[in-house]
Amino acid sequence: MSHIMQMSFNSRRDFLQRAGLGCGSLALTNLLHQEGILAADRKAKNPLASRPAPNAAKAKSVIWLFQTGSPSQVDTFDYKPELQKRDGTSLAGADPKTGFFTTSGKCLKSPFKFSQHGQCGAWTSEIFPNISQHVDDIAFVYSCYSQSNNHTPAMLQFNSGMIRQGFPSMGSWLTYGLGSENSNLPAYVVMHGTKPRGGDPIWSSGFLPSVYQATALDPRGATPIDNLEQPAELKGAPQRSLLDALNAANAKHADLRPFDRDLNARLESFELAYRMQTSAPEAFDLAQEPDHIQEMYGLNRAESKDYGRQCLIARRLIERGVRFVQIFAACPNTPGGAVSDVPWDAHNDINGNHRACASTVDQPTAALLSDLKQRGLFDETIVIYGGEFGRTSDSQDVGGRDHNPNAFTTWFAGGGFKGGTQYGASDEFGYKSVENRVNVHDIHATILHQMGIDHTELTYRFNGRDFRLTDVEGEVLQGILA
Amino acid sequence: MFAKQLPFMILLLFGTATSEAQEANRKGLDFFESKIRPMLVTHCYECHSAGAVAKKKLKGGLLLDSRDGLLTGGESGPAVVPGKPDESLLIEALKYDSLKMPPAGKLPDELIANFSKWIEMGAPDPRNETAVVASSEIDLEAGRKHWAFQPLTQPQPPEVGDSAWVRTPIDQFVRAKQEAVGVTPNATAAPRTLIRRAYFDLIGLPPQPEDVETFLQEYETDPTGAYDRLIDQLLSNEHYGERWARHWLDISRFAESNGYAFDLDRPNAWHYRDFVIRALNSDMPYNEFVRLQIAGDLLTNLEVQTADEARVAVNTVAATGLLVAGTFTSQQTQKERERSRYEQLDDIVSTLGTSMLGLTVGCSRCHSHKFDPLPQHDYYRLASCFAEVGFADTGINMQPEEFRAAKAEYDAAHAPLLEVRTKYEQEQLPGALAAWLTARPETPTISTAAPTMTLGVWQHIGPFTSSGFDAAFDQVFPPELDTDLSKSFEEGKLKWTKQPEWQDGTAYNDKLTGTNSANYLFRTIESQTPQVLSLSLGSDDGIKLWVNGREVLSKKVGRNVAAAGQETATIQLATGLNEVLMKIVNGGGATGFYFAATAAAPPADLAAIITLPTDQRNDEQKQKLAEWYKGFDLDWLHLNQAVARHDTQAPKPDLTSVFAAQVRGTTYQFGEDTYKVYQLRRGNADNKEDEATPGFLRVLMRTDKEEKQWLADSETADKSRPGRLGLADWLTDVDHGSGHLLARVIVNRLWHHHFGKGIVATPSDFGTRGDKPSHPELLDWLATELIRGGWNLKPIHKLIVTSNVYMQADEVTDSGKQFDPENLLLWRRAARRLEAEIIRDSLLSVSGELDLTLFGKGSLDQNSKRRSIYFTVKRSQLIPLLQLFDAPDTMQAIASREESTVAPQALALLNSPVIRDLATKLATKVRPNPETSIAQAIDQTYQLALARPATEAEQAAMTSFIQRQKDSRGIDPNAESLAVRDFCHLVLCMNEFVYVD
Repeated sequence: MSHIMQMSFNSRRDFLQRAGLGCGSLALTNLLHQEGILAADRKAKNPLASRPAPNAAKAKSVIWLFQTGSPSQVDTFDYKPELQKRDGTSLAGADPKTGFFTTSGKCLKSPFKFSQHGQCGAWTSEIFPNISQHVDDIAFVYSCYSQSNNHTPAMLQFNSGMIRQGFPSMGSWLTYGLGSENSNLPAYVVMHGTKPRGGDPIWSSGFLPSVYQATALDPRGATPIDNLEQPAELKGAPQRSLLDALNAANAKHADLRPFDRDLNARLESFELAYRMQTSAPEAFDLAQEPDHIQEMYGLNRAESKDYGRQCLIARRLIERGVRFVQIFAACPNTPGGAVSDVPWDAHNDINGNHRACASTVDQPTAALLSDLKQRGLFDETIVIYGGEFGRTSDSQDVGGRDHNPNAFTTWFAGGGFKGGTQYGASDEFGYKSVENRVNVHDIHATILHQMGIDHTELTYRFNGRDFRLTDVEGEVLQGILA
Repeated sequence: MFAKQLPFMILLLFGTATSEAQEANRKGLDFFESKIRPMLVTHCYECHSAGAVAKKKLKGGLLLDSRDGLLTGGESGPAVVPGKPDESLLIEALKYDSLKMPPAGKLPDELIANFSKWIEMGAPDPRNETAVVASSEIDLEAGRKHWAFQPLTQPQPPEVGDSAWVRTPIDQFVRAKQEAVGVTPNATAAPRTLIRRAYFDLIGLPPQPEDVETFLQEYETDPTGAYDRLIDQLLSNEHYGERWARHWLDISRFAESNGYAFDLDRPNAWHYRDFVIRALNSDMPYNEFVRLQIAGDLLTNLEVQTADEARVAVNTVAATGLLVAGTFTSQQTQKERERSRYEQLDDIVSTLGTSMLGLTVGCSRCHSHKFDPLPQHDYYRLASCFAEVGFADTGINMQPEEFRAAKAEYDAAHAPLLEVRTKYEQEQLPGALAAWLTARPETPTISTAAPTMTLGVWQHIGPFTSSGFDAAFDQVFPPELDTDLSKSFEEGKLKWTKQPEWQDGTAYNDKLTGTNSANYLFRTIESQTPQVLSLSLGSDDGIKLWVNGREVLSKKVGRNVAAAGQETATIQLATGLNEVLMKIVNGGGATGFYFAATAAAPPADLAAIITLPTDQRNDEQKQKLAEWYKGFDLDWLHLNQAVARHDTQAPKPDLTSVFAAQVRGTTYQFGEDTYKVYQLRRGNADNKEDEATPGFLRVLMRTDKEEKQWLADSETADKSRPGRLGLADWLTDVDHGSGHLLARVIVNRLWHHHFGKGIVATPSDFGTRGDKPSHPELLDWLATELIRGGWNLKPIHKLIVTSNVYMQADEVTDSGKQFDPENLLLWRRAARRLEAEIIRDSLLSVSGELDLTLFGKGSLDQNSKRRSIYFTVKRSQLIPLLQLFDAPDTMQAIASREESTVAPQALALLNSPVIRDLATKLATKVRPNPETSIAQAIDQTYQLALARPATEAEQAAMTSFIQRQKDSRGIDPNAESLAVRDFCHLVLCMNEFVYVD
């Protein structure tokens, strides 16, 4: 029995059931002689209350910058001179059915110039002039691979470990394990522009209690969170006095039912709701940020303002104790064969598509890293950057690339990751991951590890089985940790 | 799953191993000793050796300290296939491809290469001294000893001291346990509590104040009789089915869309929901309920003769909606299909296992079950029962009698038309063909030279609007029946107009208009000679084309713009005036067309036939030629057009489409293995073993003949019953199959929903890892009663809800508090929160807004006033209010909903305009005019929402609350009605409203 599980249940009965100790006749005798349990337990536990991590934690929160649709590794961070040289020639070992459509089998060189940056000398593409300034803070993993060559299952796997729908996403697992540092805000926030292909199930809480579900919102909208605004008729004093009267009635009802702890939890939930009405809008109010910060995040540029808002809100949220923020990059322009629910999906024009997407994400991403640093939040915040798979080294159509689950780059910064690391490798064409291969479970195990959780210990019993985020796999990537 | 223990692993001792290894050449053995053994000892033995067995640290059932161990392998299969490193799991694991071994870190490549080389050499291995072999074979006999797999014990209710408390035999079982510990239960609850409890529990709706009054009066004189009648009334209420269907829909992960990307709708899936409601309302025996859901489609005759038969057929086919309710990816890459098919089968098998048998069968997909006696082999045998299952919209003729009559009438009118045409074909056509052949140019391919025809001006009419794009495409609008250009439609709004400007060879995207509509273009072509034309066509969106009344093109596509060459057609012109009708169908946005004609040759195969001398054409060629020639014969074409137009008037059966399972229905297609099931190594579709054949869980069979009892002898293949029929029988077989477990699981589910917790607290896990029953004799007694009573569920409900343990109050007793604070012995009944759907239904009901219409297609409209069970369940668009209160996400079977209490629920109740609106409706209901006193309004609200009058203290508190709210609105003329509204809003937020005692 892990420590974490014990902390995550608001009722002892549930805990005993989940722990597999059962309430059968064997356990009964013991239980019947335990007295006074309920007296101590009288006040309901908040399932979202912050809990100390079982192991030493390097980080407190996560910001995941999901590059929906999947950037090409060989055009962004995984420089392949051999591919440049062999442009148009046959790609050895090419499988035209690697992706969603059919590829040519002919090498396609990157249309972008690469150069080395920082102390570590990491190569980056010219489309990231700002992120390039941060390579010494970044741990690059060049050897990622995943299982599906299809957006939705691949995104599901990146979030939940499973290519099927119905399993809890990492944000849900983390809030289940660690609770939230700020009870006035949701613990797990997803921000999107157009919803990524596959929609809400991508950030599902699966079989975990719905307390751990994501609050998903589109920051372009006027009201980011549902039901925060009071009905006009109730604004101000009338609502407060309604709540007071409600509390009095509920307290009387609860007093007559001293054994029912849920009643108290519900009483408290109304007070929390009342507080959220002011605290949540405050957290999302970017007008409170000075102009130079807004500009730093690119809020003054049409290409970057939506994604910039996502990044800036993310910083404000984790500053206020939100545990897990996931951003699905909102890109206003998606040329080159992509559509807005998978913006990086450059099936027929890498050059046009990646330039457009990069001009959206480059500046705000770099700004987020700088901003976290200047506020002293960098070390306790994990920043993850990457898509659901990579793209083929051979061409689709003239200048596009198809999906490629066999090799791609994901990078990590802050939160105890070792800046300037270049881990793993794809082959000389960037087509297949070959050295220190890293799968989604390894990434999940590593993030949990940095948050102070052993991924094999964080389990939940559902339909008779103890489930883990990492299923039966997962290795902590010690090589990229400080 | 953790590989921490293997309760069913047995160790077998073998004698001396073969001497094969010793015969291997010395070089190989040397290689083993120098390169391989040290590696195994250092990196593997800790978890994979006899030593590990002794220390209980053996992992995966795999021993690597003997040759036998390597060859036999563990749960994942043999570790080494001598001579074949590529097929050896050991190499796969060392390379970190799937399994990652050793876990501490991948070995350097050169060391892994050594292993490959050694296996290539035939894996020479001298180690025959360790004679211990691990086996993951499950001992079924031992497994059958688990309580849940034992036959029902048929217990007698025990004697109890406190017989005054006992109302039913259930109470004897419960009270006896309490007496043993010294716990005193509660007395029977007050009648007001009883009626509210029973209403919510059995029909999921609040009682109306007058229902409460009637019950209280009857209860005063005859408590037992009054309560008994109340229960009978509720169990026969049609809303009982709606209430309890929702529980089963949770278990069956019911939804009405595919899930995944695009989440396509299943517009005919709601029949399954109605099947469940109807089955429960009619108290269908549970064994029948199970049988139909497994094999209803196979048990249905779709050739229905009467409307009654049709209704039955809809229901029995719909039952198999259970099998196909899972997710389905409509966007697929070729590489995913086979894997996805096994995912789909796993979804079916897992759902069947958890819902009906309370077993985690899905855990045996990759390896034999670690805790329960469920071998991997059984999993694939079970999956094989569903090998041919796909989904389909099955059409059932709802009015077969009417249809037969209409069809007969139509046929009678149609026959003369056919007769005239046939007569012409027999008497006139051969001569005309011969004449044409005589007159035809020597080389028909050259007839393209100079078109001798006049293309008439386009005539246009439209748009004719329909309900949707598909409907507009399919609908036969008047121009398709009659091209009389003088006719007009829609009170003269639509009439034929000449369009002399419209040129051939130009794409027009700004001439036509309309959404979900059709435009028609008509022209004549006067031809001097029989000839062939090639058409280049364009359309936005769909297009149909008729020439001389014959349809030559029909393409339902979506497009952004019409352009040249989107479609092509080859048409024939007869000598004389030919008629061309084109239908352009538009979904949304702009619409347009393109048309251009060039002379063409007949198709090559016909050209060849034409040039053959007459006496050299065989019968087939003659027939083909005659068929082709019809296109040149205007007389025939006119007769044919009469037939075709009358055809459109043919009566169509009134089909109801039901989304359900169908043999060889839709699924992921990947060639000849699509409808086959193979046993998979580690559940991996790339790793097939033998093809699986239908079979069931052996641990639940009490017969030597295994499944032969339920499946006809497979030696006479043509007589073998489909696996699903056998499965349906096995599941419900109380003598030799799994009927006893089936009964235990369902009575426990009923108990679970009546009490909030089952006798077995893990309702979908009756395996060794699940909870043991708190009252095993009671569980067996209830299951026995169920079977004895013919599997009807309502009598079991009645047994439960008329027991004193169900009817008791929620007072704290000293002995209870002292000896059983967790209430394991059921000495009190705790208040229970209503489920999401029932909260919403109650809100609507109390405020007088609820629409109680039963059955039929659902809706996604959140403002719908129907009961929540009638919301369409679209996986990517679940109803937010229901989600907030823990409605399931429909991905997997849910036996017991999590119950969360979070601030967003409170936010919704406080701030959602929908709730405020309902509060307003309630306020209008309780105080329709200012003459109604505030006190009256308060009392009425309490009666409606809480099924009781307000106490004096509450009257006082709420009166002053209303006054405060009124005062805070100052001089607002609506201040008082707003204040009453606030009060109603408050009551809807109360704990007492959503927690039922």
